[in-house]
Amino acid sequence: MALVSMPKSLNQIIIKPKLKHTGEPLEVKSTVSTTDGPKPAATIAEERSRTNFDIDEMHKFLEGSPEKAEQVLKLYKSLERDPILSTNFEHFDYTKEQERELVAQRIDRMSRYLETEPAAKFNRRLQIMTVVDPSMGVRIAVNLGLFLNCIRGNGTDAQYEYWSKYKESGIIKQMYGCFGMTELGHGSNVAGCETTATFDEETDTFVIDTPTISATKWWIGGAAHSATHTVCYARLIVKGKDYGVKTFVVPLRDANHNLNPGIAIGDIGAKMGRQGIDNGWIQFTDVVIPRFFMLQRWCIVARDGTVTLPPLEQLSYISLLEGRVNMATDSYRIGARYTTIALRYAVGRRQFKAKQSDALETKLLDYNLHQRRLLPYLALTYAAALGTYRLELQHESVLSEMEKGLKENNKQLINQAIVNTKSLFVDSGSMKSSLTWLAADLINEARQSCGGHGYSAYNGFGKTYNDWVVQCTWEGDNNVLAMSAGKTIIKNVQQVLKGKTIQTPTLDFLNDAKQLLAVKNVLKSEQDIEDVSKVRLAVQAVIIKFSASLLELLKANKNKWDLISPQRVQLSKLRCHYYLLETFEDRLKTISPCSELYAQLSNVLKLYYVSQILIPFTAEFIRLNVLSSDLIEYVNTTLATNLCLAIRPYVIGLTDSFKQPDNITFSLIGKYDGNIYENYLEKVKVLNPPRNFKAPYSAALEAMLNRKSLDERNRFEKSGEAAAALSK
Amino acid sequence: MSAYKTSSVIQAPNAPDPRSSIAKERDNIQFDTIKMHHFLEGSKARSELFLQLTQQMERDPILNTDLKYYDLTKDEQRELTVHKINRLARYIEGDNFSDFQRRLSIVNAFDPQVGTRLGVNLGLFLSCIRGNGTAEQLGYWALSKETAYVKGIYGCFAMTELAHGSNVMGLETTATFDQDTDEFVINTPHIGATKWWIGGAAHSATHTTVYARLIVKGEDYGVKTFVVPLRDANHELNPGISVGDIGSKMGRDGIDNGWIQFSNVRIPRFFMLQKFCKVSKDGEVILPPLEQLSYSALLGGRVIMVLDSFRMAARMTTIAIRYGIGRRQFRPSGQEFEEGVPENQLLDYPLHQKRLLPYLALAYVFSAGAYKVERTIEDTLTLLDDAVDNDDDAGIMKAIEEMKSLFIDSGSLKSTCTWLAAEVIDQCRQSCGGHGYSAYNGFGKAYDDWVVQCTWEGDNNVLGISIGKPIIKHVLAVIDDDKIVKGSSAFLTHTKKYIGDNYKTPILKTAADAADLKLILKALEVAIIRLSYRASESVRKHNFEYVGPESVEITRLKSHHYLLEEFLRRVETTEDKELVPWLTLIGKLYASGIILEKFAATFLTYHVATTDFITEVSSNQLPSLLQEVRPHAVAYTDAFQQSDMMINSAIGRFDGNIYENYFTAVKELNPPRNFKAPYSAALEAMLNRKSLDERNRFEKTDDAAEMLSK
Repeated sequence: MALVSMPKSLNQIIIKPKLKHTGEPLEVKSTVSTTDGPKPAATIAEERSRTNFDIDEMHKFLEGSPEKAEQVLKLYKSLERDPILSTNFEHFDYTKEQERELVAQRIDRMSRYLETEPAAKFNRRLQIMTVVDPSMGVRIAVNLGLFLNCIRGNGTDAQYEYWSKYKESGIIKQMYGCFGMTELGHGSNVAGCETTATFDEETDTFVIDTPTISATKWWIGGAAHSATHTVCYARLIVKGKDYGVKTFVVPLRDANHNLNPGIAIGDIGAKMGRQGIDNGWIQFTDVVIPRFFMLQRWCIVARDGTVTLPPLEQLSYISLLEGRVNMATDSYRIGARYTTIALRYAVGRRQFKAKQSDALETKLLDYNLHQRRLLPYLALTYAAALGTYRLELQHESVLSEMEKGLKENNKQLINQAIVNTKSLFVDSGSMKSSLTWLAADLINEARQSCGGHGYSAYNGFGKTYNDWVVQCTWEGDNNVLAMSAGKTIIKNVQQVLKGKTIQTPTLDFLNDAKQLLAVKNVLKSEQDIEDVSKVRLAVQAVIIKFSASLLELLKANKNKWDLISPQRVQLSKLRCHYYLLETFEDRLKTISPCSELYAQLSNVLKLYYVSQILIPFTAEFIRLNVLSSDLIEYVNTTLATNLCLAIRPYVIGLTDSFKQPDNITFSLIGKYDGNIYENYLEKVKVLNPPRNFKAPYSAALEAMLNRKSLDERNRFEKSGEAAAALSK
Repeated sequence: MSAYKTSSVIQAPNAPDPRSSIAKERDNIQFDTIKMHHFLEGSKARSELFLQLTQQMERDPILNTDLKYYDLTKDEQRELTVHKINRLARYIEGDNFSDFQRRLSIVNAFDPQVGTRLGVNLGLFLSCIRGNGTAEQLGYWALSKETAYVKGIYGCFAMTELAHGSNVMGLETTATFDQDTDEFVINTPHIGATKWWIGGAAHSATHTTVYARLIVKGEDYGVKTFVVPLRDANHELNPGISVGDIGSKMGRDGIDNGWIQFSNVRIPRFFMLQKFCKVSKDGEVILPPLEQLSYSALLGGRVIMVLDSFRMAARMTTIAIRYGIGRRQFRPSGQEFEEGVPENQLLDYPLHQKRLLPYLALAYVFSAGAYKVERTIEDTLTLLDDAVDNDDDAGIMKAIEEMKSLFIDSGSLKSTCTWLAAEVIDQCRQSCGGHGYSAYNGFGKAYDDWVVQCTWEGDNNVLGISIGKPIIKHVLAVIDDDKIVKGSSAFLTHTKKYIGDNYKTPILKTAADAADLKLILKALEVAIIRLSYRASESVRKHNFEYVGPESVEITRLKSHHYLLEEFLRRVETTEDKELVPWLTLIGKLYASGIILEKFAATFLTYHVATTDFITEVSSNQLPSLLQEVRPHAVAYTDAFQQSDMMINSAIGRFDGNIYENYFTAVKELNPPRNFKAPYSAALEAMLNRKSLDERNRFEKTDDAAEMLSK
């Protein structure tokens, strides 16, 4: 169909149909239509006009401060204008090779911002860019995050200064670092790594070696093509003694980017997602490095082979926390992106008429089921926005406390920092695992809610899901992290029950264990569930009672922690929700209760805890006598439905409040203007020109269809004639 | 340090030996995995056919699939898919129909896009003609024109439109009868009516069955079906036809999905499919007895998807369980630092067992359900065809009744099983840690290809609503009019026994109840009854739309009821009695690990189980069942009899030599000599760039400042 563009004044020209038709006139607008098509843009515009609160204020609330909100918007603007960093729908058609090249170009581009803007601004830029190009985010983060954090955490200040500043890896120049931790046969069990670093006293060097195939460094982001250096996790062997896993800087490629001798590197090849990252494997065959390439903030090997072991080795793991904190925040931003897309589509898309006489079909989002599928994720995203920002601040404060303590050699400050770090371990572990899982669910549900169109690459879901889900595995497998967070919680409850008081700041809510164990049904009435502080108390009670019941189970099973692993994972999820709920409750107190903003937010908050906490954990709440069983059906049906209905009219405003521009939502059906079908068809045609109606391989197809008959292809050897001749 | 040693490569001692871990467990297999396979495939004959067909494909030069498959681009996949279809077409010419179905079901497990691209032609296009056309019309298009042999013409199925998916009745493409010329004029009135997602349209199809509104003398008779030629014998587009490629998708890139716009395309009147609905030369319209009859085209697809769910769950659990046995992680506690002590096998961790083994049980139960629904649809369609051919009105009405029951069963199974299979793929992938994310281990493509099954041919949520609705209606009728319900929902007849004064009487109370599978079946019935009853109260107050979420839950429960009931029947009637204890064990694991795990909250809410019972199951019953199944995990997965080609996963191969298989494949497919990227120049230019000052032509230096400030 040819596109007919008409000047505006001719818009109303009506062409009389030449054919006997349905009786409807042909009408020319931008194209010729026989009848009115769907008008999703008008529907979305109409709903947008209902917004009764200030979305600028809402955005500031979500981002945590007016300054941060403004910075985010400025960065959105910078990214959408940048010729290399801005998104383009043809990227969804890229092969692995094209994607890797694009990512390399973008890293180059990002490095120019890195050289010239403050670190905090660059980090925010990286975080936002990660929403649309997670491969790029990670490929930069293996250098700036993992590689340099490892050096900062394990190396002396001078070592950090040397590699980061003097050798300029801190601005992605001269060298490019990667993070050689995981091995083919070892992932979560870092202490079990098999690569060796053997001290050779004669030459004052370490010999790095991969003893078996299973010790091959595996999944190393940046290794296949980018990295010139790696931090290698290897067993320190001195005079035949194994001192456990330590870290070493090992050069991989020379200044001409050629592999050094003894280094074997390969590309790991195709993956489920994140094809833009050049993950590789590395084998070291007796690679010699100078002794001073060992990172020796905590563990030092002297010239004569004397090993000094660190008093505070656990501090070296602090460097892993940044990644976890970032992944929690990623969950918020990706949640914002996909709830925006899915909800805009759900408002614009219509399906089935409620009554035959209705002029229009019903909007998808006017179905109770559709609301119940999507709105809980909108509420979750709001809660995650607030909670993950709090986690970011908590992380920053622990780092600066630690830095200050070490610089001033202030023991008290260091000890305080260690206590706070323990807290952060539990918080970031349970937040990273719970939120990356929930975000995966969110993307998946949002995709399914867009029906078939969710499956098109150009609407973003497929690539995002495939890129996303590895977040549930890397930098601490979610199950392993959650088990460990769960264990810490149970042990803390055990301490409280023994009469001790918990000092760790974000776990001190467990101090109420004794009182709460005695309480039956914290939530007894419908009114109780309206009261956020009661609900928070209920979550607190569930965590405590659950832990106490697990302590009993442990006692009965000879203290086998493995047996209660599934429950530990549950506990960690509840702990994440407690953190989010507490944050939301506190933040809401900063809003004037008579404002429209407050009204909206308190509905969102209620929907959050009803749909994300009370419903999914119903079995626990009832079993542990925290929620009266008479209330479950009310919570599950009436209350959840009513809360969805309360939010329903404002979804466009509530998603607009995330303020993600089209460049970030990056989805044809999810654009701001809501012109779903035209945006979608038009771009599909540009990217796949209809003139190619014959495939490049059409000859094979046509040869198949137009092949000769079976008899002829069988040279008529099976025909009646042949039978007669051959049977004589 | 111990000395290095030379085997096939030079290694230090204590290299991991996953192969012997698996071999050791295989040595202890305690039941006959071949006989178990007979059970899983339905009979000895079918098991043998499965193996023969698999062997034929793994030896076939074109159909064989290996790890290279995972590196193909969209364009390469599409081309390969055509070569495979061409090859399969040669088998079709010799196969009987049911053998071919079986062959396709195997292909679906390891290269689903081939199955689908062929399925749009042989399944959807021809089923649509079979379901809506006369016997002569079917004979003409399928046999005279040789579609059934993938020869001459290639059909596609133009139902979905850009703005209409689930609401087929609301489609907007028009087919207007032109009495003067005795033709229909097919037209796409506006962008929203563009046919969308049409598999095969972009490159393959010469014809399509179009779902379009029949307009005769200005009157709209609703959506009917028409055969419309798209391309001529030289594969050129016919005038008035616009076709385009839909482009990249989340998965199934081997399918050439397209969009189609018709601009007043004329077809002869006899291209309309007119088994039920007829338009005469003078414009007289005869309508069908039941509108839904024309959707019978979709039933076949739903049944195949249940079978696909079985094979996919079998394939994924085989990979993950083999890996869970071969992979070791952490030494036993207390021995963390003792050299020589091997680390624990992943599958020995209770959490890992809980994450995987229930899905193994699920695959077993899927197989039983899939074969039952397959048999039922064959019988029902034959009944209908015979009745129509004989103009037997009573027969038609009987077939329609059975069809309604089949809609409920196939729809609930399709939605529940495809959702669960998606979950199986995802959980199996996660259980393999990072290696699950490598394309060469199969999970990524399997997932991306799979998940569209939850959307197409009846969106799972829409199916959920439409199946919950008749069940709730039954319950209303039982309560109001003492209706007697027949077919697979007959238990609803006893609704009144479980509501009113008995509403709070639990079915599952003690630990022993969890092992009583008949009682679990009963519990599912009572859960369906009580949930439907509560939903029916809401319907009285509001409407059906209000109980959407409950309807979906009812559908899920119904489908598990179907699966468990049929599984129990099959276990009772199996001739291989020695398998019974092994099957019962797997049935119990399904009950505790899937049903009671997923519906705990529902069972508690509707008083089907006591809180003590639920606590007991999750703290004791389930963990001990998992322990019981654990030693036999290899046997249960070997019984699926999927060869390495079907598994197509470097870490999931039969020999269990995980690391060597995987590493060797990765090196072959990505030669390490390419340690510089094709775009390395760009990377190196970035790293070796001049300093910022120099690139700024030293314009911001102190020197410049001084000069410029004067």
